[in-house]
Amino acid sequence: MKAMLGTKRFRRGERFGTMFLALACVLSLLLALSGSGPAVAQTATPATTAVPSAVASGAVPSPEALATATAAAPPAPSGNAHTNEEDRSHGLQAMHGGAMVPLALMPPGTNASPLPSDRIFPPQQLTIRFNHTKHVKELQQSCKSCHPGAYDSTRASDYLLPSPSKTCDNCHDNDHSNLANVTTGGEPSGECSYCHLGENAGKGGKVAKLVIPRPNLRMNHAVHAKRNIDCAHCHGEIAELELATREQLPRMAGCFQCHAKSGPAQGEARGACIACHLAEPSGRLLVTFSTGQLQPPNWMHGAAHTADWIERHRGVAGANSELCGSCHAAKFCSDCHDGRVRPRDVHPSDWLSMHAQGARQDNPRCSSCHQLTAFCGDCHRRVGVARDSASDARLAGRRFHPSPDVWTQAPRSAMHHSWEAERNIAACVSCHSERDCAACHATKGIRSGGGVNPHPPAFVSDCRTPFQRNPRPCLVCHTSGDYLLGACR
Amino acid sequence: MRSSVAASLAGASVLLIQAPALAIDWEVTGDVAAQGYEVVSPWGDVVLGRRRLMSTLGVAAYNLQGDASRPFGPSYSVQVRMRVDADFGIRDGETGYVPADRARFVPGLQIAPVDVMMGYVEGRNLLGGALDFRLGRQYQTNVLGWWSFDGGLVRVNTPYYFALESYGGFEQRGGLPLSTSRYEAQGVWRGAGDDALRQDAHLYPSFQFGAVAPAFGVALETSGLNWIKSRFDYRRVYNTGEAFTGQFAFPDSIGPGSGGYEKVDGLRISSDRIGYSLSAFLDDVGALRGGFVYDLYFGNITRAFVSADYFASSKTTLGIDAEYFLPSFDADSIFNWFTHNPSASAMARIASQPSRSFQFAAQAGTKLWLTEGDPASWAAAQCAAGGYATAEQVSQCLRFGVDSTNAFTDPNNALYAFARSEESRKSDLSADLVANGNASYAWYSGKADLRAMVQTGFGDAATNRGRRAGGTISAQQAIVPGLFWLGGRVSTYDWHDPLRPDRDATSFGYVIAPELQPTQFGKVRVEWEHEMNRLVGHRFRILGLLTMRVAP
Repeated sequence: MKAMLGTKRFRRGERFGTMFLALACVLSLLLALSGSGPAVAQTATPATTAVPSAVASGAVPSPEALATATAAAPPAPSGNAHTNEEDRSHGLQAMHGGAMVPLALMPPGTNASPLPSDRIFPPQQLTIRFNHTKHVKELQQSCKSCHPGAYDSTRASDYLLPSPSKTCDNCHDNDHSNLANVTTGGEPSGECSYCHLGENAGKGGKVAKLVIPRPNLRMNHAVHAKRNIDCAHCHGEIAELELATREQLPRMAGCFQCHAKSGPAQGEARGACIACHLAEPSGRLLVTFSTGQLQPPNWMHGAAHTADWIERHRGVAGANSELCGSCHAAKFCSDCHDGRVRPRDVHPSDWLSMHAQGARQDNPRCSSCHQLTAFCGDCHRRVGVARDSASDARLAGRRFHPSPDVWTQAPRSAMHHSWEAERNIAACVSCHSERDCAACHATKGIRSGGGVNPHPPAFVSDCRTPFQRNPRPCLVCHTSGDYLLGACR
Repeated sequence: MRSSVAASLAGASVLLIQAPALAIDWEVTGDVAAQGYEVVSPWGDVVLGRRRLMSTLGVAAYNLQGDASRPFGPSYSVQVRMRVDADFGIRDGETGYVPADRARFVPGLQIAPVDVMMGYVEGRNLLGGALDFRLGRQYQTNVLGWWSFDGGLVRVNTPYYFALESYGGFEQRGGLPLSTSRYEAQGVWRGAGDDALRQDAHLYPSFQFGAVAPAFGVALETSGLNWIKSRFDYRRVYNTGEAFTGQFAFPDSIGPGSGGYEKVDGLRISSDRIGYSLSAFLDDVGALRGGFVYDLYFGNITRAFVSADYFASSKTTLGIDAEYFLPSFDADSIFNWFTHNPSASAMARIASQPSRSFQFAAQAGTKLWLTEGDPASWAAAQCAAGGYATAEQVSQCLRFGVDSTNAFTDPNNALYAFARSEESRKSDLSADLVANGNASYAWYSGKADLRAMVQTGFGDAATNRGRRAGGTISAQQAIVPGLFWLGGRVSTYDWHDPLRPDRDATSFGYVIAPELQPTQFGKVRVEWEHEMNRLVGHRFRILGLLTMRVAP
């Protein structure tokens, strides 16, 4: 140990300070950049276990992982940074004593999404005590002091936590150069339990495992750094916090501060989903993760897949179908909207018996998924409820509608078919062909109709355009020489 | 000769072998659904035995350019999906026109129609991201609806917050090869028919044989602004081919040519519509969506909607939705003439997710129906206007009706005059109460959902359009996680229709659905469904569903 310490040309006090600072910077920024954190209000979140009460057999991060951290040793601050046991109450939570973190210190977008997505940033287990405020403000360390790798990182999977042997050990009285045999000095700051949490931390050479899964997104820190986008722009004011937790990881609403621009202002900060999200070869987003299905956040165009999503998705899809296509293949839509297997969440059990009432109520709207004259009409003709059903299919002596005296004859009773046609003509179309209507509504004479005029009183002022663009529906009821068409020519 | 062929083959082989390996991603998907159930008429007769087999097969290849490392680099893909939807319960005589035996014939009906759901080549991010294209059968989804056509689409992405899209081709239509009628405008009965049916087409004058339908459209939309999406659409579709106009043969009284039918032919409008939609949000305030569709042929707004969300908290959203809907149809259809009044709905809603595992939502509002005139008082008023002065006369009028011919068609008839007067046709409103409730709870190895609804009218038959109310509880539990699940569903619904009170019923049904995923490439689901109500007694359905996906 002495030989090892001898390699460091610090006086004892400087060494302590530097070691403490390094460890703090390493671990805090490490946590911040890789993802961790308790809740905004300092309530323990399901996604983060900040302080495990007991650790059976933890392990420090793998040497391979730590080796990727190319952190240079931060400069040692002067003075003894380590004090007494009281210090150990710091660095356990974002704010000392568990105070609520002000929104201003949180990453942008926290107002919209208080917690980072656990699909994107899986739950973590933080087993470290670290005080960023002390290291940054008191000891004047920068983010880069401990996280230099972040400035060159091009992938979200890059390991950005610093190597303790190159940072922490500079001040703290221990040696992490061999993680299989970490040695400690006599100073309190070198004790394993000074930073590592859990009962008997360091006993038997083991500490609780720090679990920070890789985030499920694309992220190029280097590109952002080169554009002078500082760490706080995405991670919040970590320098004002003690422990940096998963809470300091970015929110999509915050990303949109830059990734929602277009044209010259956009630069490379594209707004397309795949700018940040992982995608399948088809270009659609990868949505299935071990922590659940990726879904739109509540605020994004109101597209959160809430419990009533089936009822209200039409408005979102109609106004912004491109958003749906980010995750869903056309087959997902066609399974219902051109479906041949009844979706049970839309049409519940016994739908065959009750669908006539549903159609009358226009709930759900049949034409959203069905061609009324073909899909509906074919079955109605086969069953025999349609008026133009073939002779053998007709249900002799049975009538779907009320009796003719109230359904078709004058005066128009409260149950007259005209009211139903006015309210919901689509329900009529699912059984009736034009011939059924023309029998009464076509003109008398050559058209062989009953001459019952279906047009509103002012119709002649509106008929010119449709007649000129497609006269066919006019000629169903009127002959081409009908004087009544004169106003429409 | 033989040696030259061999040399050519060898050369080709060398070229193929030496060609750089392309990292093409591919995907094969498919599903098979087999269903058996009986359709029972409202009077209890078993009228159809359905034995359905539906199968789809999709093949896709992505990143045909080989280099997929650049998310915004040029990329090419090809996708095809086909489907067969057979009903082996269709009886002889229902399909295949035989002039001497058409007692069960249904024009256009097919036992096993095959259609290409989509099949296109796509290029994206070409010319530095400025150009995208699609060529083939493809979907269009926008405020004008969900639509499909065969043709080409080009999209130009500008660096100035907007993109321009243009497309043209032929609408997918029923009756054409490998096509379905799903995407054509409503109101025209179209399908396929053989020569024999075409010879006797006058027997089904409302039926049109499928013919190509040229179509084109343009769209202008915002691009790159995530907080707002705004899109303007215009689309026109033409009808071609022959169609009957008069639905009845010329009467004999008109002399030579009697017994014939009039037809139209040639290019004419099918639909001509513009639409606009807007979706915007402020991430800590709320979201707003809206849009409308204007039918240029019909000359009316056929749909308008607005929806607003207020993010009361990160877990709770309050919202309102309103919609105006006026049915419109293919310009070949006479049903446009019967569309006078819109329906409208207004709903308020709340959706909340108190915890990660539990969420619920509730909606309540009204659906409004407009009529030209008051159904409740119309008949009495019409009788009174027709000179039925005394209460007894009015009663007679109401009870036995009047001379329909005169009342409906004679401009000099007082009843007709009443029916045509603007005063009589003042808009009248009836309203339904609509409410939905949804909740879901998930646990580590399963989930449960509740869906409930009620829609009910009020008053007598003049305004009350009936009631439907009920709910479903469904659940799924993993028995062997990752391998075997068991699902179930219980539902009960009650419905009442004042126009058809003999068909009111209360229904109970349940579904048992085991699901097995023996391999990562696919899973099998079987559903046993049992429904019961007083109209049909007991009814059963069995469904087998196999879904597969194979990809590298």
